[in-house]
Amino acid sequence: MEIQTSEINTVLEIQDLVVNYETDDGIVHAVNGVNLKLERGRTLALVGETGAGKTTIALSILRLIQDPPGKIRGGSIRLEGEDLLTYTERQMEAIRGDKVSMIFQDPMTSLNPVLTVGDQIAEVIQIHQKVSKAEAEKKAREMLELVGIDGDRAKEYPHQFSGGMKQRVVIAIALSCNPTLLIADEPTTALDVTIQAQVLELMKELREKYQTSMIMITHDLGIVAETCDEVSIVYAGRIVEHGTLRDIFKNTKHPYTVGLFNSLPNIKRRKDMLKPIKGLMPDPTNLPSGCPFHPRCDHAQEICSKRKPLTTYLSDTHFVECLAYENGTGVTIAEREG
Amino acid sequence: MSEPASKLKKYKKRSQAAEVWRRFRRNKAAILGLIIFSCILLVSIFADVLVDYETKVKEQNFMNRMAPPSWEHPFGTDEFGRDILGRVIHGSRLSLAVGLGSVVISLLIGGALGAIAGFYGGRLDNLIMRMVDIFMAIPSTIMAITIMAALGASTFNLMLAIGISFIPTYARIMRSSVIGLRNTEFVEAAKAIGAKNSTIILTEILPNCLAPILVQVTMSFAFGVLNVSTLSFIGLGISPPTPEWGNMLSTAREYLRDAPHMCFFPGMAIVLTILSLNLLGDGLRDALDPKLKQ
Amino acid sequence: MAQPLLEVKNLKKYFKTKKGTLHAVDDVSFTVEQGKTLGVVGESGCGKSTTGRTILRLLEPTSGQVFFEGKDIFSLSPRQMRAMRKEMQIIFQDPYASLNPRKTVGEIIAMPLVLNKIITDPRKREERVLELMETVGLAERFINTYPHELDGGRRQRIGIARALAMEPKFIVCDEPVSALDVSIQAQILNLLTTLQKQFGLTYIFITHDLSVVHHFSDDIAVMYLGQLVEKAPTAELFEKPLHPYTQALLSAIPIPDIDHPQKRIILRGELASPINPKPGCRFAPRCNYASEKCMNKTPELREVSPGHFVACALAE
Repeated sequence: MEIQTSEINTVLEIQDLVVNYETDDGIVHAVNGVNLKLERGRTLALVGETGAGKTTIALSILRLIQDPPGKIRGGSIRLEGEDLLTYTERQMEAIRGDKVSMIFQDPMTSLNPVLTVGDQIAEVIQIHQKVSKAEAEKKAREMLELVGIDGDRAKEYPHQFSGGMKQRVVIAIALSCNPTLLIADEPTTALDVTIQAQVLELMKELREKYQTSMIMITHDLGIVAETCDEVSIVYAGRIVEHGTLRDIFKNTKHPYTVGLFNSLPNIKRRKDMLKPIKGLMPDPTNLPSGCPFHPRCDHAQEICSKRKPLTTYLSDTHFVECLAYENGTGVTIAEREG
Repeated sequence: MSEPASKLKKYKKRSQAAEVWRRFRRNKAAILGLIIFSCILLVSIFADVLVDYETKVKEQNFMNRMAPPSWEHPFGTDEFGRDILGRVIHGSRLSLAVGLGSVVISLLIGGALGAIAGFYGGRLDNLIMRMVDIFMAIPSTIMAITIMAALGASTFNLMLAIGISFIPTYARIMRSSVIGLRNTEFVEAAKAIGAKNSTIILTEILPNCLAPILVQVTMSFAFGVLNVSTLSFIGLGISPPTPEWGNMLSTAREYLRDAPHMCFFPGMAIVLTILSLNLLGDGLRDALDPKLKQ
Repeated sequence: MAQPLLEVKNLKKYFKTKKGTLHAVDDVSFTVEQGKTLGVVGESGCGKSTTGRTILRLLEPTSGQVFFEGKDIFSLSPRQMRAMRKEMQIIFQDPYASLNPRKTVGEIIAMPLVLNKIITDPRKREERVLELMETVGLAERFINTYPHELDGGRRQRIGIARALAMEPKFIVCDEPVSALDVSIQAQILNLLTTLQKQFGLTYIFITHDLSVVHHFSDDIAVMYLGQLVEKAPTAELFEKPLHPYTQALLSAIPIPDIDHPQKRIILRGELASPINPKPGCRFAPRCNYASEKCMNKTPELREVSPGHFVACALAE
């Protein structure tokens, strides 16, 4: 099979991913056919609210979905061309921490309280690289210095570090084997604003240095603007809009994305009342018919409840799933105010 | 002009008990425990209806001593020719009554002490818990024996003796539940609305402590039954001729080789009661646990 | 000038810990006018939540005074304080922990009315509960549901209804939207704005989210390690922040605007410990402009322009 040159640059390609949680109370349709692609060195933001499915997508890449009740029911996840869903558990273990690393939200619980931070970093190195213990420890100290922590502190335990520093240790662990793909799940949500600023700067520096591709899961559009190249908006387990930063921030199309921007209190422009999206996130065990956003959409028409929207490409980089942008549906979006 | 009907009636409460029951139902062992215990309970409540006290329990028939199980006497007869089935059924009343009584005593006293210690903390907490510790240091059986010996035999004294030994357990459980809850925001909210401390303990904290207490109730009920049997076995509880599983076991000991059925049936009654209560308790704990962790 | 609704003077709240005395709130003073919103911002450990709770006397102060409509709160007897609570209420951050899981929505909202014997007729009480539910946007069908059956946004509305039940004049909002999703946050913020206009409420709005406080407050107080470092009307604070910490804080907010890249002031180091703090400005160890004077003397809060207060040696 001929491998096209462009494919070598595609680090991650997910096609038609379907993930359900099959519980006694019903089937939770967490991910309903997700497609995404990430090039080398780029950062993709997965933006959405609680329950949209972003964390499930991330965990699926690493095959960390709890089974039962979680089941990957379809699709493929290709890492540099290889479908991870066909891998055995052993093969996955070789990948986790080495080719693909993940940073979780809460630094308090991500670290093992009974091991020193140096040991935790060295552990990952030793699992994946054939080096001696001494060498692993040396590398661990280097990683600590890299994230701005004094190497001598490798002997200390997690509880001796503050929240921001713990998160840096977590980053050090994640980057110690120079992964191709780094997944960060709300890495700064639990941190104070000034510490968040420090950690985001660090992540940007390291990304530049190592050309790591990154998936950043967040609900904060400010962080997206600062750190990411491309954005996927996740709603009810599907990507309803995707594009470059400019596409999404300056040429927002999907009503949900528009609603997200309107819900934000904006420091630059103080408004009297915010414009929230009416209603609530849909129940994933009982998703609405047709377009999953239609019950909350100001522009919804009858056809929106009847048929699921197709993926419409507005440009090479920008696509949206909304009946208003498909030809011949008769659905239009009224002009946005100011 | 008629008043509009209360809206509350229109929207019925989906009781939380229903949720717990739904989860409980799925645990087969727990259902088994519930069924067995319910049978034992029903049998003991309707004991008089099922088995006539005069004829079956007291009547002696020397011609038919120590007879093995038969159609006429499904559990056999004892050393006086009395029907063991009837005696076991009637014996259940005392065992269950004392079990229940002891639980009530230890729950009320221990629970109150634990709640006060947990809520107020500080020196009061220390004082109460050290007193409770003293009680804990004395082995429960020995304490029960001492109390019975001092106060004399009576059903109430039995309840007291066994109940006292469980006060520390309830005090501790209640105290730790209360400590866990006293700093929650909804308690703070109650303070912010102007609730007094006593109101807070009774309406906000206690209803949320039910889960571990309920589980402990089934466990100590089982222990209560066991302790009554133990005390009767050594002669300090209910004495013969009143039928009680413990004293039945005690007298049957002598005849173990010749008439093992005399030991077997009262013993089985004790085992079944305790087993069913334990299964019930485990099931309850599992059913109550995930409730708040939605 | 009318008497401010709330006046806080030299409020201190210290906690005794094994390692020493924790200065949670250290000599904080400010006033709030009737009908206005004071935003209180700061990062973890700055003492904003403790300040809010001490003002309501949910915590006993170590020293200082709080005057509500001219009355000294800390000198009231328990009985008088209970009566005072009708005027001053609180909305909590965590919509999951601030509601008793064993009570229904209706029972929770009715509780202030029952406890304080405000409405004794059950039928009238039910009417009032339904009225409150409508005010906060809770459908009446939820009156007999339990909190865990509802989502975060609805639970927060229950908390708001409860706070409104006694028709208070003043509400402390302790991070009321931090635990909610962005779109629900907006709904709740709008609700709080509407209620303020409708009932003439005065708010203290505690949050760590600067964009929310910018939207929602008339004045903003910035706290650091238990001390009030700057207070100014909102627009002025954002345009002309004087305290180095405020400047760093404002520059740290990620802005959802790709055309104007952020010029970040990155602070060195970490927060000092609030236990047995050393004398001098508490922000000095991290401050890019710190001098000898800053390390030795704690700067006083001074009014440098009308309504704009700063505690910084640079502003003196």
